[in-house]
Amino acid sequence: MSSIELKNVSCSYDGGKTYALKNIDMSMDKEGRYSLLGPSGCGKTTLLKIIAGILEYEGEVFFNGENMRDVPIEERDIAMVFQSPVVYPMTVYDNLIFPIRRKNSSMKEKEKKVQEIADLLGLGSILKAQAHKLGPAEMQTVALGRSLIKDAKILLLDEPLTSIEAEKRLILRTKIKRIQEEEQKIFIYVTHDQTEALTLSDKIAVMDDGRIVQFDTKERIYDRPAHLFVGYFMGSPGMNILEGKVKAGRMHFRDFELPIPPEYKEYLAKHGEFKLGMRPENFIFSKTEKKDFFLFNCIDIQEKGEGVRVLYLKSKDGYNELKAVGTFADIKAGEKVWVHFPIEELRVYDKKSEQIVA
Amino acid sequence: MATLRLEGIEKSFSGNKVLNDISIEIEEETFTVILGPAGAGKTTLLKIISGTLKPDKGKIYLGDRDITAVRPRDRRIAMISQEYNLYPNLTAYENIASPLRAEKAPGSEVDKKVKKQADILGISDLLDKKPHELSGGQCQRVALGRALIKDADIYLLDEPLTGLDYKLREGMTHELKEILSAEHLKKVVLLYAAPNYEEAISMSEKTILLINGNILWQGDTIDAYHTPPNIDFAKNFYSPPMNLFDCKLKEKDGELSLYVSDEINLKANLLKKELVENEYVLGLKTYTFHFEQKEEGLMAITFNLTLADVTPAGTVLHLEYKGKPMSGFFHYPKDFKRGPIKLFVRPQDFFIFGKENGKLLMKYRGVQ
Repeated sequence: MSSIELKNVSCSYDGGKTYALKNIDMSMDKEGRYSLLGPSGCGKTTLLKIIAGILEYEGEVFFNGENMRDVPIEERDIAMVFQSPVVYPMTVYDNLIFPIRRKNSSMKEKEKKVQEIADLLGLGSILKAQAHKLGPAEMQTVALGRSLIKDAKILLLDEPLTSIEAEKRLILRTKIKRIQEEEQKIFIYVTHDQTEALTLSDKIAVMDDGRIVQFDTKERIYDRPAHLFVGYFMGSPGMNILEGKVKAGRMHFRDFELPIPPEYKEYLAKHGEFKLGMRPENFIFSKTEKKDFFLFNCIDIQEKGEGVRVLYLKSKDGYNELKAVGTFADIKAGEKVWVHFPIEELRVYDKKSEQIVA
Repeated sequence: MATLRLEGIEKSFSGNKVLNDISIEIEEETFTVILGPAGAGKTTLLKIISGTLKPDKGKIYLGDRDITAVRPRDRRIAMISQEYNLYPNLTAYENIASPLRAEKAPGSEVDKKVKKQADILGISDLLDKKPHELSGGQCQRVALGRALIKDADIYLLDEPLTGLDYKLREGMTHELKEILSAEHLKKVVLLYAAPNYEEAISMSEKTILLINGNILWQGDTIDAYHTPPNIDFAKNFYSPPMNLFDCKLKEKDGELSLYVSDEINLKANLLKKELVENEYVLGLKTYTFHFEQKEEGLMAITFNLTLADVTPAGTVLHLEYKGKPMSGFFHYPKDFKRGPIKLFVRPQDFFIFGKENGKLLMKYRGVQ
């Protein structure tokens, strides 16, 4: 079993004035598919480079319990694929065999290994082509193949699809997924694209401003964002955020009020102000007035494609704005609608720290 | 009257034809999107309208006036390009003011207009900053301000959202729609180039579908989004494209059917009068599949699943049917194993297109 553990890892590019990474603690305790997800400048590539061993850092990094402080990149059991495809100016075959050319095994075995990788990635028909003359998607496939041939236990992928033509990304994404299904490794995938993270990993570390804001299964990242940033960043549109006050044992939002979900009772008994998070997919609508439904005006509707629409809603007196996502075939812009907030879908966050109330 | 009319516009670059016989008419007060993938000719077309490129052939009219030979700065056209092209040494204020400065407008008028524009765009507190101090989204607003401050008859927007990351893009589609529906933009022609249909359907009233330099279709965006008018539209408008199956009109034991395979066939006895050809194409939207036989009369189809893309809005299934790529979309995120997958379809969700002329004949009426 392989594992990676980071303890209090920080990194500065300017001698300590500012930190690109701040006190990262993270444990990937078995083989599996992991993603580092965040906007540009959040520190995700910096973190990947530290794991690869190509950046100085503060704190400790362990592979399988062993401190990697003085272990150079070539002695770490890792392979890496970069954002821009890196291939050598030689044939695809020679590119693939390059990392194992000095390996202590017979030529026959090496050729067999190249053939296996070529079959897995569909490179069989272009083995004799010059790698550096291929298109970006094929070049990246070759780079991917070369990273697999060493049988490294850790595969690091740094936005491998970003510089690929849009229409070929699907093919490459499918190949990466196939590798993930067939090879037992720690896969760490760096991306700013939530679809890639959700498709190509089981656990996601959402990063912002040099920190890991949440490291969790993709289901929990979506369902229980630990911080409002995660709620905003994941989802399209992201989580609705409302500012509320506690009055007489209920949550007040100026022109409507909701009961307090049981799990937040203790916290809201001590805190008068809070923020409420609610996924735009989870509202229930009525065209007529009903108990526990609140009046909103639908001010705009946008088609999002695939039959999905986004409703832009304003509360009765205009104090609160919401976005709702769904099919909503019978709601029109300009109409009044009554909105229900299912209590089990409400998430309460601390007003100042914006952390979820546990 | 500011109707923009193009007649037979053609343009080639070193022997490659990038625009072929483009004839369109765009009325004021209709928000029109030119939709097409990268390389379709959208930017070339906008440049020809703005006058920075000369067409090889064809005429451009604004109202009744032929403006083909009119210099760009005399055309009363404002354009925002994909790269924004802000002046790096000028503040946001001076960038927005630059078109008025070029016209030598009086300082007090410039000040009034810049401040009003900044207010509409929500960037009043950024006016002292230079482009390198602004984020991508803020630069985009400044570029918008600079384009919209000009009192023009035609505003051209070349993929204004493409350079933004998806989070900003998501908020901007709604905001941009509001900005562009401002009062002073009522009596103008708004032409917006977009690379994907989400932008077209979320904002525009009319769409011009431009593929490889040819106009494949033009008309009302939302109507066509719901009811695809022809096969070209079905193949090129949606992303992923509509699923299309070739079928034959088949008669067996007195029963008429539109036959794709033993799994996919539609009873057609009642459509006998309308089905006069031997071959048709069936179209199926990507989001009309079901996972289970949740009502009677659903048709079961076995696909090969090559990849499930999970997005928070739902899951895109990349499928194959008899070797042909297809796709399915489900409104909730769920992971799937690759391999054979059985999906269910309502017969009345099929569209029937003519094989020869490609036109929509009808949506299948549930006579299964």
